[in-house]
Amino acid sequence: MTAEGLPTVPLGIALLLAVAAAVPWCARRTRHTGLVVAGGYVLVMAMLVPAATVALRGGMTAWRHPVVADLGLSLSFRMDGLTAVFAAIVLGIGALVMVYTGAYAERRQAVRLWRLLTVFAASMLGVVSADDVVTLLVFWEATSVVSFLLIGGDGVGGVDGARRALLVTGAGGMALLAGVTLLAVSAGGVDFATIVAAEPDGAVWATAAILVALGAFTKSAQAPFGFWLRGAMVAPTPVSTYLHAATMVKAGVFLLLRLSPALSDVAIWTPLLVTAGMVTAVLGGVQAIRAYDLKAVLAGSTVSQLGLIVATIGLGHPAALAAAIVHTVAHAAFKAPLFMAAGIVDHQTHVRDLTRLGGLWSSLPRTAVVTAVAALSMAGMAPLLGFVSKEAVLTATAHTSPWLLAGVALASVLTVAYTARFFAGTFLGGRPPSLHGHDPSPGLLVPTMVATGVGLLLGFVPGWLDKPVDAAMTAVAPGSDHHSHLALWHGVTPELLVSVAVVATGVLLAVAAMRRDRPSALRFDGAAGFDGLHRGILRLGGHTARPWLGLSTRGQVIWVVALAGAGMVAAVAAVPHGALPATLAGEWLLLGAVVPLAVVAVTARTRLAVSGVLGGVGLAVSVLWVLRGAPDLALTQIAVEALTIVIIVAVFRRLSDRFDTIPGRRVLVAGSVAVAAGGLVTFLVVRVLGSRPLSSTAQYYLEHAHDDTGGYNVVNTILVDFRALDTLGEITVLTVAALGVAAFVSRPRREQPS
Amino acid sequence: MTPTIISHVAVRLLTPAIWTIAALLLWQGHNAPGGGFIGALVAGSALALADLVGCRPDPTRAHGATLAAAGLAVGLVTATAPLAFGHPFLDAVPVDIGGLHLTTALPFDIGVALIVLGLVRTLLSDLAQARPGDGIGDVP
Repeated sequence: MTAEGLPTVPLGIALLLAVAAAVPWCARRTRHTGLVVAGGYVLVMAMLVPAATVALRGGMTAWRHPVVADLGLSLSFRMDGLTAVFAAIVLGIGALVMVYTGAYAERRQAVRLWRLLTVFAASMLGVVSADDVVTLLVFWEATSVVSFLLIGGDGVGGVDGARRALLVTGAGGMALLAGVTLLAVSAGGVDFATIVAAEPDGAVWATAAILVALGAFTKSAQAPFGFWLRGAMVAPTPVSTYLHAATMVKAGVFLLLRLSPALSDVAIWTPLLVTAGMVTAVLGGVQAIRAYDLKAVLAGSTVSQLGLIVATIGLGHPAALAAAIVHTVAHAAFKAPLFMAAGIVDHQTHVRDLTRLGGLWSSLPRTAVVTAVAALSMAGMAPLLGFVSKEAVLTATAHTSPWLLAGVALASVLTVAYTARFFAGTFLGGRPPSLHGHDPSPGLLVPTMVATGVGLLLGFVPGWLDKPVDAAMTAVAPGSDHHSHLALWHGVTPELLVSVAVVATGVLLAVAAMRRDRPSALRFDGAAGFDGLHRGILRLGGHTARPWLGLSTRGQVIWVVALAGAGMVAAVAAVPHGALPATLAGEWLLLGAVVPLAVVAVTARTRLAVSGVLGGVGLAVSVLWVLRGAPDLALTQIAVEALTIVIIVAVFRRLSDRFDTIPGRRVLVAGSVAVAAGGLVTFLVVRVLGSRPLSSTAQYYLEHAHDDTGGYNVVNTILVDFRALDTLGEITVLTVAALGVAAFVSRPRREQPS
Repeated sequence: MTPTIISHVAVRLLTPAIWTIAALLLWQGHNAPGGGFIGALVAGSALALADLVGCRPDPTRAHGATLAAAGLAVGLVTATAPLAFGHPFLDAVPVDIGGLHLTTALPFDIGVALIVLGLVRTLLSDLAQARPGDGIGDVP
């Protein structure tokens, strides 16, 4: 490993994975597993401190471990200012969520959540610390997979949401793969330093920018991909808090920030991000205001806030990028406790619907206070961090265009409105008589308070964020020499006046919304659209297949023979004639054995006879391979024959002993097709045999197998040595097939009355 | 098929022989005909024999899915382990144990064998558990 000092980041990731593996063991021994796991996160944070200190001074530490040196592929990590900020969010909120999970979920579910969430934290840490696009992609996809497992839960009720999330983020991952490949090939290297330093190259970079943006948009639930986030709310609250407030959805934002120095000069970057971001910000706000489920409100809010951040990043100039970073931190600081609070209300009262909630101020006083503070931060009120970040965003956008400012103001009005509705609808007003609850245990309340406290503290002394933001800016906007001066009071600026107007309008809107409070007839629901698209594709497949499926097996065989035969004849016609190899004496004997067997196979009356004869023909072919010098092929053929015959016999056992009598006309048709197929294959084999000498690759393998691999069996060395990567892919497919069959085996069966 | 004494004894005698041959094929694969796929298929025929004859499966035996997953794990470990020693991904590192000249291609082959075994077992267990009315054997 080329390292400057100890490779703390990869070790940190490994430590998190080890913690995840140790959770079941730990859970059997102590009741405070949540605290222990949280301690693991804190330990990782401590491990990262030395590298983070270097990063905060504007430096960077990198570690690289070559995977395939000849191709330039390696596992590379870095710690710079941007990584430090995001790592703090991932690990800090993670620790709080671990404690929260312990108090929220019962033992078995908690163990599952701890393990998967910690694996997720490790993947997310990998994403934010990746030093090249390959490493980034690997961990990016890992987060998608783990998120699927977390949303899906135990498989009851979470399946639709999980599938949607996986399909959408997976498709985004494909787009990202294409985008970064374009960038890497064009820049001549996979690491970020090379890509950032390269010159943008017209159409290629524009395409890459769009693809990368797509990847980020799907992950961060931007329009029109935002619907998966709402569907993901079926997951337990700790999952929603960690994934959908603090980490996973932030991955898209991180990607945009990381590649901003490379892509912000591409013409399409700014309009794409700003448009998508602003549309999302407004749409998300509207959804949040219309939603009735507490978590749905927060989901819409997350989408909206992320839209605002994306739009701000799109602007590209240093003030905007810095504002985006500050708002990311602020968002994590207020969204996480709000999700936790929603979870507390759900946990204590078993109600999450705003139409059935109200007046919980007296029943859950401590929760109410904490929620109030976090809500004030979300609404952008002083003296909280949300206010500071909102001001920064307003300042950054004000100088660009009045339309943009209007959009941000509108999004902020909606934010105030749905925040007020969220809080007032839950805690203020009259309490429905059926609603009971009391303040939760410290395990639930303390993490919420800590997260909120951070937002409050940083609101009072936002100057503490100056150094991290500057450090992040050296990575995101190198050479800009940005100096952050975050403060609570900048004087009576136009931005302040806009904020005051926004708050006033928002409160009025909230009051109006709460007074209306009837279910909205028009629901602009992307999820229904996606499900409809999904069903439509399946139905289209069914329609296309219907003519085929309507055929009998015979009909299908005839079509296959005809079409495939025609295709192969056409392909082979272009192949030059070759000399046929000489026939060995043994092959004439084989022919003499196979022909009677074939006759018996066609004329036999019992199924068992046919099975036996088919096996015999297979064995004869195996002997042919031995005669021609391919013993591995022969062995495989024999083994596969044996197993195939077993399966055929197992099926035949259920049927009658004898074949049914077949009318003469069908015999004629079937016979003709069989003869035609046989003739076709013979023709093809004769044409292809000897038409091409040994290829150069085959020549190489035959000559160098022993020198390169130490083995004499070329077939085997090709499988496990020269082409081992192909084999790895094939065995993965086989494993998936085995799992599929195993799932099929355990299906519920129709019991026949005996 | 109801198990009889003869079939029981036959299976008892044949199964260890088949397994031995399968292991031999796996071991010698690098230098002589054989290898992971072939060894696993031959061992699979031993499994098929036991199921065909009607021997009741041992309830503690490993599920096909477990075998396959274990095989994939072995394959992945063999692929990534060379990284820890400075070799590239999926490198066949020669290892000399007591005069035997082996490479890490052997554990990879073992992983392949486990996966094929797992697949064969899942297929056979489905057939073995098949009952009338579940659709197997219906002629379209």
